[in-house]
Amino acid sequence: MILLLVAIWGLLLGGVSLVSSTVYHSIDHAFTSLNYALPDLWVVTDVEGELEAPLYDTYLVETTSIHHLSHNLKGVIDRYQIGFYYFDAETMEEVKGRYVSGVRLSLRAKVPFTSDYYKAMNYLITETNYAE
Amino acid sequence: MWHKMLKLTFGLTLAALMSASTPMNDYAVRVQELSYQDTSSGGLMIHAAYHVKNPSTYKVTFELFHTIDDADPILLKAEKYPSGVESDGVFCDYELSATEVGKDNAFTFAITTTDPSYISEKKTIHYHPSGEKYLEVEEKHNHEPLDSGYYKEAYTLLHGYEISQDYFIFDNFEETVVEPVYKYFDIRRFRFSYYNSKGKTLKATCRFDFYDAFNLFPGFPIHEETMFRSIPLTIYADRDGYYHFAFASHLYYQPTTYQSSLICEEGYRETSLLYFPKRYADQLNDINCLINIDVDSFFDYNISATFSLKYEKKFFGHCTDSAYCIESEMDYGNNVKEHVVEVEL
Repeated sequence: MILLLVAIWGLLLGGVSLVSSTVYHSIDHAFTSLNYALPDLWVVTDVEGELEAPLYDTYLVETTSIHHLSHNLKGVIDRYQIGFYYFDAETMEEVKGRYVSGVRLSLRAKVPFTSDYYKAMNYLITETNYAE
Repeated sequence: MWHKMLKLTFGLTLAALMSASTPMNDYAVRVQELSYQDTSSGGLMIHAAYHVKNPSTYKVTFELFHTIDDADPILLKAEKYPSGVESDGVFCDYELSATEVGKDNAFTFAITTTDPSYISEKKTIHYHPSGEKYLEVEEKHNHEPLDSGYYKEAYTLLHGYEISQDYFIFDNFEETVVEPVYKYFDIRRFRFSYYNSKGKTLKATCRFDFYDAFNLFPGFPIHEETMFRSIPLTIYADRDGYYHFAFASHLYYQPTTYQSSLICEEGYRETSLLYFPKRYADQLNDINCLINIDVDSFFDYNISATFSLKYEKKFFGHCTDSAYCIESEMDYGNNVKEHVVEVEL
């Protein structure tokens, strides 16, 4: 009888662990795959001028990130928190305004039976050696 | 009517010019004579004579056209000059029966060669059975490469003893146009000079066509002849007297996707540039383009410059091949005052 209870307990623990792991990886995949959405979000504020440096449109970053995460996390979790922090890519100092060269995105979400998911990524628009 | 025929047959592709080697100095071809004579059966004998020197240097084609009233020209005879034969006064004769002669007849003898730097000639005579005096019109078309990257074209019309001449110098038309980055194309980069022997200003209808292989520019119409996307152009002169092209009306682009259109759609912005959609730099790095100029001068003719449009690098993309890129890194700090949004699913 005791052996049976131990076996059932083991199965439950294994199932819970599997669920936690699957949820965690789904959240992580949704967050890291923002990598592929962000390269399209740059804009140039004065397009008729010379080749001005591209910048992030903060409105576009926020709406696109939330849309991307919500689409990928629906049915996985019931809520999440996303944080936005905007900075200058060269000085790393905070910038307030619509157009920025750096954004820090953070995601926090509850994962059942284990600790919360939390990760933060910096995305910086930088000029390469190929720029004129 | 002969105007129409010239237009049909007179198109010049600058790309062909640009690939040409230095012209051979001892090579020559020209029309010597074009005349007609009544035949005993009431018809007409058309007689053309031409001169060829060193014909094997380039391929030479002789064509005799007949235009009745305002109908389309009929090709009566075409000859490709046999390689290696050099001669003065080679004849090309053609007899028309009485039923083939119309009220107003024009006969055009045209020489074309594969030598892009040499003179191509057309000679036209008009014949009226009523006995009106015929009018002789001679058109010469000469284009030759200048220094590297420079090309000139001249169009000459001999109308009796009166000579009219158009003269173009295209000084930055290249077979391959390379823009620094994939972002937009500015048609104003091209410039040319134009002179008219009568001092007339340039009158021309122009357009810019480009091949949309991936259907990424649905906002532009497709030209029925070239099947390329087509944008009307206008011509303006700068302070130095050079002519430039510009899009005839404003274009529009979507500021986040860079989708372009001839029509202003919601959220689009006005521009004088042709924007290229984001993320398609790899697909659009070799675009076949064409600038077509229909010149309205002492006669109508057409100049067509083809070129390939390329980019040195992407404006935005991977850090290895773009002017700008995104660098991403994990941030392990948690001491910034971020703006947090709670989302309920």
